[in-house]
Amino acid sequence: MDLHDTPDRADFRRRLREWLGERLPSGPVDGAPAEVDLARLLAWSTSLHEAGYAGLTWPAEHGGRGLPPAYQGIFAEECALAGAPDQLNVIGLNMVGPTLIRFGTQAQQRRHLTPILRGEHLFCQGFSEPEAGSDLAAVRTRADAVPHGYVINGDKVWSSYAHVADFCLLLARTGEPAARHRGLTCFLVDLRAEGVLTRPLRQINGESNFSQITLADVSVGEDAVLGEVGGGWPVALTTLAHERGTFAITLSARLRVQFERLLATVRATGRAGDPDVRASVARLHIDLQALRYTGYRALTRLSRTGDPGPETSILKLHWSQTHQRLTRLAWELLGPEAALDAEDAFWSGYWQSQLLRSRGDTIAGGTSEILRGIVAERVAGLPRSR
Amino acid sequence: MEFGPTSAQEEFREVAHAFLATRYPPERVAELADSAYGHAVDGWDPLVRMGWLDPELDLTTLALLAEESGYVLHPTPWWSTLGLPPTTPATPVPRTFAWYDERCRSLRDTASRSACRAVRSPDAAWRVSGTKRLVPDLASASEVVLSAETPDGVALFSASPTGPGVSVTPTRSLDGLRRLSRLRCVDAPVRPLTESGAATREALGLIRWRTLTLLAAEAVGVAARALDLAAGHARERTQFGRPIGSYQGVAFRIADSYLATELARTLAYRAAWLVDQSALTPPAEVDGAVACAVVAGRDAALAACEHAMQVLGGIAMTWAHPVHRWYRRALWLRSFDASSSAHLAELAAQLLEADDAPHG
Repeated sequence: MDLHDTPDRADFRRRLREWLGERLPSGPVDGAPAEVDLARLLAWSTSLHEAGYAGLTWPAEHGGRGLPPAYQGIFAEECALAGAPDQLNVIGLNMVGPTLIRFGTQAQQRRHLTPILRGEHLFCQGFSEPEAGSDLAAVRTRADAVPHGYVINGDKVWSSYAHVADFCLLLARTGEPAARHRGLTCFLVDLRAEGVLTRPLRQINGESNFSQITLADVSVGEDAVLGEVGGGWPVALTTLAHERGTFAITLSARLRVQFERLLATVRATGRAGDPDVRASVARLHIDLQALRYTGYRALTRLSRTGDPGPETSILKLHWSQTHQRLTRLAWELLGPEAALDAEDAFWSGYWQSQLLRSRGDTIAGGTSEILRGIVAERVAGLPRSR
Repeated sequence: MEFGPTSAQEEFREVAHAFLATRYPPERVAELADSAYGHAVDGWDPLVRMGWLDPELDLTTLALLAEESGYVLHPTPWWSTLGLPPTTPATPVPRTFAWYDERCRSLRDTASRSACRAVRSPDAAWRVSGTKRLVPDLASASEVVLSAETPDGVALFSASPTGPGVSVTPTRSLDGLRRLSRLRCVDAPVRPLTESGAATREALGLIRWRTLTLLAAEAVGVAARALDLAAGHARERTQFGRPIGSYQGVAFRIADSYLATELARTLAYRAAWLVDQSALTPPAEVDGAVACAVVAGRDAALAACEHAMQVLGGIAMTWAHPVHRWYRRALWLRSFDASSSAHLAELAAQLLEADDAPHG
């Protein structure tokens, strides 16, 4: 048990912090973070790659640095604390890349891995559908075999980064619907192919961070199949699992920054003497510490055993509930002016936007109901509810 | 960053787990709780033999033992004893700490006030007069450490519960396995442990950290047992033709208990580690970590017990079913020392008043 970094990791953290400090404006906590346009996001991806921060945990033979997951954790944490822009290719780097390394053919690896690292092949994920949300095995998008390839038809939703992505890791049905998850196959689809239409979805806070992808008679070659035909389910699970180790570290570091914004808002609104506010702030602090250190516990377990353990299943659940409480409290601090919005509101409507958006936290990436079900079945050993 | 017990610590825990599970099944614990004494009289020597009283043990290891003890409701004065720093030379006897009195109601205040008076007689021997209340495990302790005001300020003394001038009155207690007593001293001869001033403040600070961290860890064990009682029942009990654990209304309660228990476990380990590192850590950081662990641990224990009682249904309302034993302990943990509101107020002051304090 040691909550300090080892000397090597402390060194990595110090250099990264310096590097971020040179490139980013100081502290993000005194107000809403600035908007970042696409050109700057692309430039940010490029500079991360040039500085050697892309593919930290990828094996060296695939262009990565072959470092243990702890380094990815430090990277995620420091970027979030420094208020770094989103990494545009986060899906490619953290999910698709490791999956390609495990399941891809040599040709697929040659085609995509280096461009993913360089930020030239931006990836999105095409798993959810209008009729397949929590029940992913109900995917209806069809890939029908034709000579030398497949023709794909269907709709994908909630696809983050799809409006800027070049490729999509897509889950489609190649077998019969009755076969459920055994009839699914994963494809690497070029989003510029004929028949692909990507439409941004407007969210409840007015922003558009994810899209609907419609595929109408999209032709792909046999080389677009990732893994086995009919073996899409384990590929998809691998993709999702790669997120587990360090994603919680990112979430909790972002929440720490959000908590600093909350404290700034408490002071700015003159509510620091209100006993109810003080108790709520202290409770959020406890929940945040619990999230942060449980994330480290899971990461330690991942390093020791290769499996982040049952702790991981609760991290997203706890993060989402804590973030929702935080945004609600911050918004309530604004008093009657909480009813204003956008440029007429405190911090240009930052908390209004965050409050609305945070309602999705308990829905996206596994609803709280699904996560509780996983805990009940896999940890507490209860019988299935369905 | 290595957040988790070492393999040596885990081994220690496993040995303790196996020992406690065999020795203290719920039937035996219930019998002891309802007995005149409330403790296993033959329980202490095996602990000494297994090294629980080894002065070298770090608080992280002790926290694991506390967790295991909470899991079975270990019926010996282990918590009262281990909350006190080890003596040199080591005297592995059951001990307890008497601090609560008419003037001192919080562990925070022990260094600044006491209703007990200590005077030094011409022959240089110290004598204490006054009454302490809510002293846990006093009936089975061989030594009691108490705080008393000398003309120069509060200092710590050691007394024998059976010594001259000392009387012990048991009080009816909600938790029959951690009974509270009244300690009355009338010119009782005592042995001085710390001089008033910095030495006493330092000793009391450490006692507070140890006591509260072990309390938080014990709460995690209580929560874990309540969770297991609930899950076990939910797997076996069938209603409307299905095991009740397949109903989400039941399953989600159990999932929420698991969530709260794991988070509290993290915070208890963190507090233990920081107390071990307290020489290298700002005291405010240790204080903050201990407060987080106490609030989260108590909440988790109470909620897990209440969820378990709901899942168990009518049988949980009987004296015969053991769940109320853990519920009583959860309530006791909740009542000990400062309220959770006081801990939250302390955290809020750290967060909102000290601008340079680390918040993350």
